[in-house]
Amino acid sequence: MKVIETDIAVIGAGPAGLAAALEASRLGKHVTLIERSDDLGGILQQCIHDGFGLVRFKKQLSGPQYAERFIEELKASDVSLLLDTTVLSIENKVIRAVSPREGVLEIRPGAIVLAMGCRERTRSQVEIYGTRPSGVMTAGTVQRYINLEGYLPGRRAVILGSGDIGMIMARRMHLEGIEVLGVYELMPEVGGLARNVYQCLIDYDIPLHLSTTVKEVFGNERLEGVRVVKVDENRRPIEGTEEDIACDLLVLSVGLIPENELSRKAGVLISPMTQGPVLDESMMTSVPGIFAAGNVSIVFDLVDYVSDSAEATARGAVRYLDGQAPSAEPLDVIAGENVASLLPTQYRVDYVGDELSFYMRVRKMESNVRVTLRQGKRVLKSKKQLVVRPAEMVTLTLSREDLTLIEPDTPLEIHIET
Amino acid sequence: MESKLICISCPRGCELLVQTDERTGSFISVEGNACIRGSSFAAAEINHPERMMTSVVSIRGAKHCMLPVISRRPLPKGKLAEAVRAMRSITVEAPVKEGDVIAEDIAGTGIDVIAARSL
Repeated sequence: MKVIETDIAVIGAGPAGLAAALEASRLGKHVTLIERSDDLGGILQQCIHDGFGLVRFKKQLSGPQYAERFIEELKASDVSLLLDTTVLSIENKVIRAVSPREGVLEIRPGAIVLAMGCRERTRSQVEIYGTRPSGVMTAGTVQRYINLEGYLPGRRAVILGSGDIGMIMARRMHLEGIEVLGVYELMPEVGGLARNVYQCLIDYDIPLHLSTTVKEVFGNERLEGVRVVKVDENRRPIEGTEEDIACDLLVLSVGLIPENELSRKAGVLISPMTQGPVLDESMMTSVPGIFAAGNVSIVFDLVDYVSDSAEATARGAVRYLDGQAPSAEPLDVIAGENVASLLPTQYRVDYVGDELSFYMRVRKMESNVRVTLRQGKRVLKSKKQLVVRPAEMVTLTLSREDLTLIEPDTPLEIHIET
Repeated sequence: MESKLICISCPRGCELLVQTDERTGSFISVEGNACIRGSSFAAAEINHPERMMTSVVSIRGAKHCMLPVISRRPLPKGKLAEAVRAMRSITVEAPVKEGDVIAEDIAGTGIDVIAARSL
């Protein structure tokens, strides 16, 4: 069995893994990047629409273009790449992986960065009754069929869920000649960004039905139709509002969940709030030396933030290797008013990084709010924000100077208040 | 006349209230935009709406069979469907570099379509 020794092993070469690997390499560490497929860039390679990179590059790039910038830099770096290599387990910071070329591999790093991303929720995670025909699939699967494999998975499509990928695929399917009959959303408001309602649905007269869900599917071999039903404010079906729609494709865009099967095997504590690992200010998990980056830790809205936070993760891992990891007892960072989920949730006062960003999701839309970090009665940082929405992440960045205000005794709280 | 738009310049998605000329339908003013991009978007959206075109073309000799492509600049919105249709008959040979021109002057717009990745 081949044994590889390295400073930092990064698992997953999507946007988070690429950014983390490059940052650690820039800081002089030897990095081994492990990717299960034969391609770099992860999900970006099938996200052919534009809108990526506005924050980092001040440009509207498509997913592959955004990935290419990192891939080019990676090729010029001395990061070791293990493609086609699937990690099987992490035990005592030793990684077991397998590849068709090398067989079973053992990787012994000084630190590990988990960057496995997230997965889509599937039919089995939402309540849809009926048969099990082909033609029921997630939006990401449809995207893969059309954009990577080059074929159309149906002729008449119904979309359940108004997440961004669902709306983007509504437009993509329409432009490729699939009849898109409508987008159905269980909740009273749209799941994704307003701009996608505008440029993906309104542009092409694709109807959006709120407070409506797919209750049942029909068909034996192939999907023949779905039954939609309106729901009340408690999301219960309203009798008598059922409608049957003939279609051969049901596209699910019903949410994303951080992918932490490996993290669990490694003994990492998972947060019920983010569904990702509990992380500290250095993006380190509950297992010393194991870090997390990107959507494996919390589902981000913009890839730009994934790259930024993954670089912060890499800096944390480098400090750990250099013996600069904070060792103070961690303070809890509490998700306060209108904060649905938050990253990171722990802070150690002997953290030496230059800055620290908090990433948050809100429960409900509000206008003219303040995002405030408090310790006891003291306000450490507060910023105004015009509007917050569940579909969009809120960030609060503390400078080195702000960080020195934190005292070692009382938990921190973040509130989003009107 | 008043019309409502959502700015697509960034993910913030400002709701814009646009005043247009009753007679010509052309842009007069906008409110609701958080930044300068909102006003140029509103004017363009009323007078000559544009969208980026992204699609795929077939590629031979690469590890994937489809190559993602993107228009170099936004196209007039009305030309989008025709441009996407035109992509279906294109096949290129690997290797392709990101930025290589895949199709020139698409749908008579004078705008080129380029490869969005190397393959």
